[in-house]
Amino acid sequence: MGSSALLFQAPGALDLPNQRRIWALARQVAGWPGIREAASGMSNLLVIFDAQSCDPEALQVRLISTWPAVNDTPEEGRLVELPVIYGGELGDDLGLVADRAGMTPRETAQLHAATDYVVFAPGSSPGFGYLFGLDPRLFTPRKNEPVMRKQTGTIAIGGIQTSIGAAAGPSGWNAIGCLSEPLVPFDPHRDPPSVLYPGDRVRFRIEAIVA
Amino acid sequence: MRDALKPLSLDDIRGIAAWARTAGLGEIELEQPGLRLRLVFPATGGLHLVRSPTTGRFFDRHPARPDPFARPGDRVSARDVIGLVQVERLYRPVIAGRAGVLARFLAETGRLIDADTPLAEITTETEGRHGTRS
Amino acid sequence: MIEIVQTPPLNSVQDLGRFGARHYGVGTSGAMDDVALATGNLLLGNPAGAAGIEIQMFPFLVKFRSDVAVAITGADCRARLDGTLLPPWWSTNARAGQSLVLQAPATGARSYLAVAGGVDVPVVLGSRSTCLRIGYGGHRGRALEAGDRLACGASPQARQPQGGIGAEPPEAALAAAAVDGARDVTVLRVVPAAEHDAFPESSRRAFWQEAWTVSAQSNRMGFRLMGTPLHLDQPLEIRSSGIVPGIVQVPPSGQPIIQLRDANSAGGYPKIGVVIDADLWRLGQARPGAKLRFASVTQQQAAEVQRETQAYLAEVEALARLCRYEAQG
Repeated sequence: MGSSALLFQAPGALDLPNQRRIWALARQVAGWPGIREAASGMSNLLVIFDAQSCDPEALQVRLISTWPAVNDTPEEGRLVELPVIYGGELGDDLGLVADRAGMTPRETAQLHAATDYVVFAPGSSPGFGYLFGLDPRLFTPRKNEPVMRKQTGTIAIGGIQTSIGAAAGPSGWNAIGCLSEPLVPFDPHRDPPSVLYPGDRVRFRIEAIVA
Repeated sequence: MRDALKPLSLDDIRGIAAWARTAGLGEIELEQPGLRLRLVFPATGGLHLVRSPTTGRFFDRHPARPDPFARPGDRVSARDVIGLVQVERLYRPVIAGRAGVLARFLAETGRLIDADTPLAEITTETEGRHGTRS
Repeated sequence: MIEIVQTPPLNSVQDLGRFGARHYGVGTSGAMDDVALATGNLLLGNPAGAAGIEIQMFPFLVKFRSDVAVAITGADCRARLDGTLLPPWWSTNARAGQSLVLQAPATGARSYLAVAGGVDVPVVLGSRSTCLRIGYGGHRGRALEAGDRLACGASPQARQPQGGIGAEPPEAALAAAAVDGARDVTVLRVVPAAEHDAFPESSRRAFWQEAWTVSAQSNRMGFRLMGTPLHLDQPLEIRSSGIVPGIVQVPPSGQPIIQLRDANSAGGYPKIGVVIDADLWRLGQARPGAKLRFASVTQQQAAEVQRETQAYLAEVEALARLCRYEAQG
């Protein structure tokens, strides 16, 4: 990926065992010479290196040959319960997602909240991260035209992933609800700065369904 | 400007003289109750050579700008930058050094020159005596 | 100590960026024209990554509350110190009570004010850069406003030689890539990215051969480009990954977006190429309406350009140090 980064995409499914191996690989790679950062994504790893001291081709080869032997180690994380109001003004795509799934909005909300999600990777904005575990019945493509979302805490579905919006701004994801209590997703002066980290489990608790 | 009712000290006069020299004045007259002061700076026709601070390439303007720092005939003060000498990636200023009128450049812009090479002439006007009367 | 007397929005304290914080989902921020900030710092004897002020909206007026050496680099903003016009890419000694005015540049987009000792704001997650999007770092996590006072760090290199010293601007010193038939165009070297080959031939040709226009919806987060829409034959399911500044994504609209310093730290759009690190400063100086062309390079070629850039900065640093040493002489 450019002059000083590589993206290693792990072969195989997007699932928890593979993702645990990505985390383990990240920990290993971070210690290799010439590596500046190793950032986990959804079954992938962004490796940023010093182009003057690191040969990208050799790095590629090393990543590919290291991967098969990386062990699936149990993730260390907390269980975080978050209350959600599904639907309503801040979850105005609940109907769309429900229609596509062939369910009622209420059923959709209940299905979404039924799974404990694992935070797989830091998100596109700091604080919440990308969540894994979305039921395939709820997969909904991202929109062609992003929509301005004013509120952080928006619960959304984009393709095969679900997320908690960490910043206001344009988003192509489908908003199905919102955290019922305001949470500052990220505060660099707080300890710890982010609400969620890779390895944490998230359980959404239904406060209300406004359909 | 100075409070007109305060009497001038010798230091004040020296300060006024120095300022007038830098500004290139030929004569200055001040009057207050009990004192009339006239400073005259006869032109000596002095010529000041501006020399290159270093070996490098001389420019009369910054290569990224169209206008030269100064043109012959311009009045300059001692601290004015009138050119540049480039040494690889660095530019060093060519400083007038004396107040006066930029008479002419002695080197072409773009030319490689040695340290201390005269690059320009400045006609100075400020050598001389001053007098007081009260 | 410098006091901001007058400033439009969007001017902020930046250093070379925030690294090592991706685990939090934090982007890099940092100067859009990193070469300009580094050069200004090096002229003053600062580390290249000392914090300075990025000015992208003008006019910008500061008053010096103490003596401090400063450098103004980047787009030529015809800086005047107490009315005296300074050359571009120049450093000088400012005295307490003096005022500095930066005017809107005729070419280029961003200017940088470096101060001896660096702008002294708290380090947050390893950097003094402002993340304007989220609101942390830099000066109180926000853009500068009239009345703000910024302290300067202590500096052993207290003064510039009399008359100041300047650097040869990178536009002259660092050769850009050339493409056939390109005039009045900013050429950016790009390494093809993961989904490049997934685009049909027609889209790939458009990407490499067209002159793209920087739209008005372009800022520190990213540049939206206008031109022939690029389309995949079939939609790809892209798994979200970390991204780096310079990445060129193709959203469903087909109009490429170049993610830049204040971009998100991760994303899921198809990636067609990545502008090389060493050319990001050229993007930092491209204004809305500017035309861009992309030139394909390998990572090895990109590393070579990086070496040239580092050599330029090393020379500026060494020569500036020599000048200051001689001046103390």
